Amino acid sequence: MKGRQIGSNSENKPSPLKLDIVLDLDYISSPKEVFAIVAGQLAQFGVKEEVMVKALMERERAGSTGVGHSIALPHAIIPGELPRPLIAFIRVRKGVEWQAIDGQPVKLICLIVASERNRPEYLKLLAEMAHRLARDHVRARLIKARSTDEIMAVLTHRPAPGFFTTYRNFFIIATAIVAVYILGRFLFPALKLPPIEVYEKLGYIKFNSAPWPSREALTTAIFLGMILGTLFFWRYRVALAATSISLLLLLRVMDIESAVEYMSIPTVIFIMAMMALIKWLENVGVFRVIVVSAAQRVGNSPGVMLLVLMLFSIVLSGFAGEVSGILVTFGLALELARRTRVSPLPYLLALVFATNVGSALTLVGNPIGVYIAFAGGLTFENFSRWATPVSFVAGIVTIILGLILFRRHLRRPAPLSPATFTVEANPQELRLGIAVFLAVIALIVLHARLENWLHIGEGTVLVATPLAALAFVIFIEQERGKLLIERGIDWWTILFFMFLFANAACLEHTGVTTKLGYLLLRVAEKLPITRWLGQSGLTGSSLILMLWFSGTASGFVDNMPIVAALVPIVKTLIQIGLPHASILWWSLLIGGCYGGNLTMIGSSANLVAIGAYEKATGQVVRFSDWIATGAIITFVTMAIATILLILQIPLAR
Amino acid sequence: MFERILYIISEKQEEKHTVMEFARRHQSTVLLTAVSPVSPCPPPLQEGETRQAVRQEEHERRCWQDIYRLEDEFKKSGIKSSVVAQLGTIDNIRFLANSTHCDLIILPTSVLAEHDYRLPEELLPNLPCPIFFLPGS
Repeated sequence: MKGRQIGSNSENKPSPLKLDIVLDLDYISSPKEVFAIVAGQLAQFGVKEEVMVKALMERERAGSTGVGHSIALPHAIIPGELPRPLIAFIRVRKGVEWQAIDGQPVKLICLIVASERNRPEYLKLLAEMAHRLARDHVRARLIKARSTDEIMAVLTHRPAPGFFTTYRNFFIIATAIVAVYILGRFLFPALKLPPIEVYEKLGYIKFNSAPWPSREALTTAIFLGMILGTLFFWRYRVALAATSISLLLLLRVMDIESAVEYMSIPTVIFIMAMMALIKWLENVGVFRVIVVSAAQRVGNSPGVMLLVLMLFSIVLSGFAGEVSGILVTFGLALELARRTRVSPLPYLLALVFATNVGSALTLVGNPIGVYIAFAGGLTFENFSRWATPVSFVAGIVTIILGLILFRRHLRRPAPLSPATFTVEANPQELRLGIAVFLAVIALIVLHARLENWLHIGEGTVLVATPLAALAFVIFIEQERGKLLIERGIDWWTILFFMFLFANAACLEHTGVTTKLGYLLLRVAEKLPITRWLGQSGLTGSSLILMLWFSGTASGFVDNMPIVAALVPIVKTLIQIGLPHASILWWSLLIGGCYGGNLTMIGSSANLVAIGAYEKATGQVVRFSDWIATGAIITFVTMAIATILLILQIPLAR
Repeated sequence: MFERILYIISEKQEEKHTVMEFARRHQSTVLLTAVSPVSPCPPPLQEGETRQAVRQEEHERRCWQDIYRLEDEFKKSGIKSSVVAQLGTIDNIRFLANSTHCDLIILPTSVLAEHDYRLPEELLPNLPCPIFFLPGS
């Protein structure tokens, strides 16, 4: 039998590992049969077959060696002398019932026997094999291995990754930055804005001459580098965004005053205050109480329960943010799935889809909505007029599609008992929480009217409302108020947003987005749909390009960088007088929100829900689990939104 | 009463005799596992990712050795025991308890000490069975 030895420097590691037998079996009926087959093969080492089988069966009686995750590690000290501990590895393709602790059949069996004098070495080997088999990727490779040699290689061979493999992502980013910069140095000087009145009036013609084209190439390369960096090194996103800002400052592309101005402080303050406020409302139990109360009234049909939870995902994400929405509804779904012993995966997918669609319902549903509102000077009422009806229709369609796509899982006649959901909330705090929540929502809804009435600047009430509510909460929470600020606000994300906004605004500052807007119009002119749509043709084509680009890109990259980069383009198109161009704000919002359903990494809600799912079940959500249904939902909802928005183009400013 | 006990072993296993006695009295099967300590502070800057991974691997290897050594002791004492094929963090306790269908969790306080005496906020209200915090000797 072939075996490969591996070296060891650590005292914890056993002496070199040698597999004595590797077997690949299609079917086997019981552990005893496995032991008999292995004992027969180990006879060459002086093992007595009956003795070994008896010792292993006794060990099984003292507690199953099926350790979960389709693994069994049968082991025993057997009478007699063995030169060293013996290891056999067996893969059973169809699995064998082992009374494993998780109740699942066993597919990977690592059998170790030793004599009494090898006991220390035997224990080390057991630990080493358990250590290796505990890793998901090792198990996956063992299950997929095409031969016993491959199984052997997986278990014994651990090649160290080379320099280029280790730093592959870094090289990809560096290459991309250099390539984009070189390309930009050729393209931006060639891409000239036409000397028409509107560009001259707005002072954009300067972007055609030095030093702007070189600054444009530089800004684009740095921005794309940051986007790629956040894609590959998400946990370092703040550092990457800060590095980009530093580079732009040091290279004199922008000055400190502009950088601070571009950080969009009102947007940041609004998001920050809402984060803390929503965290407080979550702690008080406001959202859970609302959802549980509704769930307890709808009976015990799985279909109705999913419908209710999806509906609340839409509404809660619209008014309390996507993360809060998914935390509450998927938290309940997990409880439901645990009690009824069904897989929570369909709930995960359906609720995340509903949440992402719902996050475009209002101004406060998603940080991109807040950013668009401040960038475009849009009010809550504007959102209610344009985003809410589209998201309402898309939400209903998402619910119907969810119920159809997951109908197989909802037929299960499992007894559901929503009445057993518990809510531990202090009634006084709860009443106060609901009052604060309603007051904040009412003031945000009416902010534009109040600002007009009070003759104060645009967005003042919008920013002041959550700030005042937060101040009130800190006051009543006293000592806990400090904790709320420290833990309730995702400071990491806030910093990232600030730096990101400044980076994106720099694209506008240097004229990149003006030129891209011009390019977008030239592309839109050539699309056949422009002719079909008649007078609104150019706006309609731009809308389609904007919505589908932001939607598709948001499926693979965080939606905020995409939206932040596209916002200045919409601003430019409005400034140059594209008819009804304000409708593009909604295409951007909807693309950014709905596109989050495309992949697992499409939005914060996806990541939060997947994290909760993995923590609760120990299982991994596969890309294939997601993409099939995610693509259908994304395509259908974006198509509906496109049609609804195109039909309304003549009504837009 | 406690048919299956999930015992999260501590580094020194000072509490093992209490667990053995408890399991013997209740004729329980003990499911052995361990959790990795989570440092409240990030690792020092000069410590690269490779070094951290090596340290983590060494720790896990030590945990598995402790678990199998302990399993051997339980077996010699006539107590039914099994090993759980997963090491995690303290956040995984709920998952482990759910997947192993245990009736009681035994968590030595010294394990908590390694976690800065913090339990995840959502842990206690959502556990499927009682949890028994056992002080060290």
